[in-house]
Amino acid sequence: MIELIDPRGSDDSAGVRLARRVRDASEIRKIGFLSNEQEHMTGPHFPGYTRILERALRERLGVSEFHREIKPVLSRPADSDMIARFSGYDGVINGLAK
Amino acid sequence: MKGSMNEALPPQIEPADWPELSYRLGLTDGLPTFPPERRVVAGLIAGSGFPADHVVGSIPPSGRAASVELIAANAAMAGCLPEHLPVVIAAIDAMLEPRFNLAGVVTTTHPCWPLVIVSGRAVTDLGMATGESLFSGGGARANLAVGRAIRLILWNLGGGHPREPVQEIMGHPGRMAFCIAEEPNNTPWELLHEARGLRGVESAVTVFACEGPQIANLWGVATPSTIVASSDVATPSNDAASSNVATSSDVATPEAAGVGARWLELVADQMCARGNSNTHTLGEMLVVISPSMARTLAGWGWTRCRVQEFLWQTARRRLGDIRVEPDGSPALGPSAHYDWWPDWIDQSDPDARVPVTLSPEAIHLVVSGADSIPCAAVCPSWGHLGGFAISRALPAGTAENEGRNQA
Repeated sequence: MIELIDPRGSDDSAGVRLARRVRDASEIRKIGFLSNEQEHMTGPHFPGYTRILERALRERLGVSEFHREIKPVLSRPADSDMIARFSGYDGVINGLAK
Repeated sequence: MKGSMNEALPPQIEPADWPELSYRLGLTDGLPTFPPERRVVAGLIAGSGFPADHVVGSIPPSGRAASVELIAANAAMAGCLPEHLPVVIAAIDAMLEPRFNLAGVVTTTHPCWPLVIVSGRAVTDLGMATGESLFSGGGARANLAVGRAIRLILWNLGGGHPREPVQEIMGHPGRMAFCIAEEPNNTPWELLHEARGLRGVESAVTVFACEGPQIANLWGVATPSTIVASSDVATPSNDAASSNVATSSDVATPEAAGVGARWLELVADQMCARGNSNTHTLGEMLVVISPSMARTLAGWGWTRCRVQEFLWQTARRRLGDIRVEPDGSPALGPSAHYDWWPDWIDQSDPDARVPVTLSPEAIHLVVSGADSIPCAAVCPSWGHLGGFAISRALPAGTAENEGRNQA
């Protein structure tokens, strides 16, 4: 027999966990949009795309509440205050227009 | 390949049970590993110079705390020896500097990955390969074990698994193990860490997130026979500062100067492909030059700084070719504007020549690879978004086990 050390450490030390995945679309009532980019005057941008998504989600799934945040730097994680403002939402859609 | 991530690891097992257990629990990315045996881990910790519970930092994206013991557990799985652990710890410490943006590097859609570059005396002490097959380990245990340890730490402690949350589109074979060593002796120029300001340091680790090597073969440059005999004359300099001072008298002949420039133009051409992130966002780039090419260039008067400056001036594209409208004309309007470019790039001028890095110093030159034909490799990066080169000095006397590390 050999004695092992778990290379993952303890689960308690994980500072960040993935959010629970949405399993049933019919239960979604509140959706957040997290944009990796600012709104542009012209050309494609994710904040503009979220307005189209909002309309589709209202019409098709009956989603009633939306919240939007824009990350100041696209390549860096959203800070904890920004993440906290999505608390209670059923899902968050994150993106960047290309 | 994630396996049963929440399943607990039994404290004791039969050695033969490890391979299947490691796959079932998702403790590896698909390659086989050694078991993280407590006895082996204890030996690695003893070689680290740190107590087992010393925490180097939190590994993104999961944020799990990387104690020396857990780093050593992953290093044991990678096949590291105790003398490798200071390199692994220094590399992880460098990656955790906020400027490196490790969370972004690991999870981005872009295929970059932290390359570990070891320079100085440790290269010899650890038996690291600097010759043939440089980017695939060169047949040396240390190169692959260190690179593999980094991968497993970011896998098991960071939770950097494909899709959840890693969004990398195409992948990068270097993610399995990405570590090279700089040729410590057979080079005409100062070492990478010295050029980056760590002077008086015997050995160092530099981390830089980049794509895989893209080769610049020096085809098509006619080399007059009159300069061949005098080309391979440079010897390694003991004076790092003086090796960066170039004068016109250093250049053997106008013909030799011309050949050197044509070689570097080939390298520059490889650096500024339209589809790489540097062409659009600048940032930093790695250029690896083979020892024979470096010696030959040095013999013709090319210093490290002069090569960097030449590449920076030459590896440029016309703005009107970088940004285009659907009809192929230059895209110069406000919607095409790149906010991240510095003001000295005139974004209204389609003929503006745009470099691939912010400065000559952002082209990181490393001399390594087989000492045969002149050749270079270019590694583009994530541009301005992160993964910038960070160097850390290694403790002196990294290995007393020279010769044990060759595979």
